[in-house]
Amino acid sequence: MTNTKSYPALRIEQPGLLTTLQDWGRFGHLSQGITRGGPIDERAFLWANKLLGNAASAAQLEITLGGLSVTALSTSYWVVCGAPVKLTKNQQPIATWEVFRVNAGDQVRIDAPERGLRSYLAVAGGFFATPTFGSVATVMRDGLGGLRGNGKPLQSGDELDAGYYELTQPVPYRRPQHDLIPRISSTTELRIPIIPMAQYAQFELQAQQSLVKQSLQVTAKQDRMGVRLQGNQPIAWTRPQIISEPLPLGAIQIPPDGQPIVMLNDCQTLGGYPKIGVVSWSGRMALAQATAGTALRFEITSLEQAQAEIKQAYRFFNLNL
Amino acid sequence: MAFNLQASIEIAGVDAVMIVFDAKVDKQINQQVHLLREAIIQAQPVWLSDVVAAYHTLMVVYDIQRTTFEHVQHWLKAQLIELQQRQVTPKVAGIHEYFVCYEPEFALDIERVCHCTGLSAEEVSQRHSAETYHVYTIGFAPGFAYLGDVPNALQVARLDTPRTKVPAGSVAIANQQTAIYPRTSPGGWNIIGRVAGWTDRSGLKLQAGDQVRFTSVSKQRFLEIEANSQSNHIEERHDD
Repeated sequence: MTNTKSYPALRIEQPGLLTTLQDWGRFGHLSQGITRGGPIDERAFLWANKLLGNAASAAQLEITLGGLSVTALSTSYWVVCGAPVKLTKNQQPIATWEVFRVNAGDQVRIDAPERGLRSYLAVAGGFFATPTFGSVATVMRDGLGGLRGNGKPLQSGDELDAGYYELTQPVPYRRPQHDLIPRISSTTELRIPIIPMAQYAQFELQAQQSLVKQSLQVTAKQDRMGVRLQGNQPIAWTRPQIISEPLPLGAIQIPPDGQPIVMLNDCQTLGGYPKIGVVSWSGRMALAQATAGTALRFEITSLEQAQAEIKQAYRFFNLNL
Repeated sequence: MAFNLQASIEIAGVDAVMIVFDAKVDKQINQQVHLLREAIIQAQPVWLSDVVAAYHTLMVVYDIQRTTFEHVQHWLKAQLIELQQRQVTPKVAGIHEYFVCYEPEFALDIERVCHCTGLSAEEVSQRHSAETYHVYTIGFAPGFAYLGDVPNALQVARLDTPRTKVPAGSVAIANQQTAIYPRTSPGGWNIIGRVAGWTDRSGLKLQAGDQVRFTSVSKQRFLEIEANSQSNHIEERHDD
């Protein structure tokens, strides 16, 4: 970040359950045991930056389960994407997924979502903080990133600056075409595309079938590191323990109880449980908003298909990293 | 060392491949992994996003906008063949020396370790500090280096119940491995000492393939080093 011009953007009045600063993530440090971090719902994050005309990786606030209230410190343009939440400016309801203008002193509040888990508050120019290892992404378990570089979530009283932006860039009321806003439902069974990998072939046929032939439930045991799932038929690993291996994003680990864990952005860099597959990008985006009790079914896709879907998304969001 | 091990190259993720060597915790196999890692980093293909080595596996993350799985697989195969032909030997790795106080105040699990091994506290510190350790891999947390091998006589299983808070800089053992806890964190290894002058970022200087030595110091010396708060950390990286 060479642009040092910045403006006071907002003060946190109530951080809610968990509000963290996130940019696209911390890359190139896996071999030091440093995980990537970054937004769990990358699609909502990319939309928010796109709508404001920000750089695709510009830092935003990730708000888990709402409860955030902030005071604007300057005139600017903001947008909130992600889970459907009640969003208010000075107690007046305003639309999510739509750019709005704020003036200094405006009170903006995000309530708990009706469905889904995570919201993203983006401001014109993107939030500005000193990067640690090339990123401001908050990773609590690594003690890296965030406003002070120590991995702490945001707290009441924290004041955040944002980067300089061209006044002509943000367009008020700009929003995606209605059918492009991802729908979040907790009642329909999610279809989660996966690619078999790692120890897949060493699982017995029955375990391979249990992976795709049953409905699994998202449990409350989930955070930015991963999501534990629960199914009636545990997926059995009948071989000896494996030696720890690098753990890719989206990996489906099978712990001894046979209930899968899908690894998300803050996952540790090495893992010692066998892995049976890896979740595609759209699958991860669906999981990013899946509350406890949501039913899902894994379905096998090809690497070509999984890569094509990311390439398409990156082109759409103009992401060249 | 001849580079003659078989490795397979597999899909690890939507944008990652895994190079898998013989599935053993073995220093020679691990050195092959690090040789390959070095070669990849040296070559620096434009599509390379990240590379991370574990014990017998190496994961390469690539930019799918710039290359394909097939190309990466071919390229890595060619690297393996070249390493084999060049008869590469491992470079002299970075050497890290740490002063460790093994006194009971810091050796939180010394009683358990003595009980399990039949060694005296004195023998534990002597045996532990007599070895030169190899950094197999780094993971679990930033800068947490898995070091080996702990001599047979000193091998002790993990604690049944992990501690909720292990102080930063604690030196610990579990089975054939030893480690320094980079930051205060939960942990299930047996604590046998504390590094003098350790800071939150000390662990990040370690790299897989490096060597680590421990020197036993008295509590008085430990406190002096802490007070000076100057680095006791001697680095001899030959490639910088």
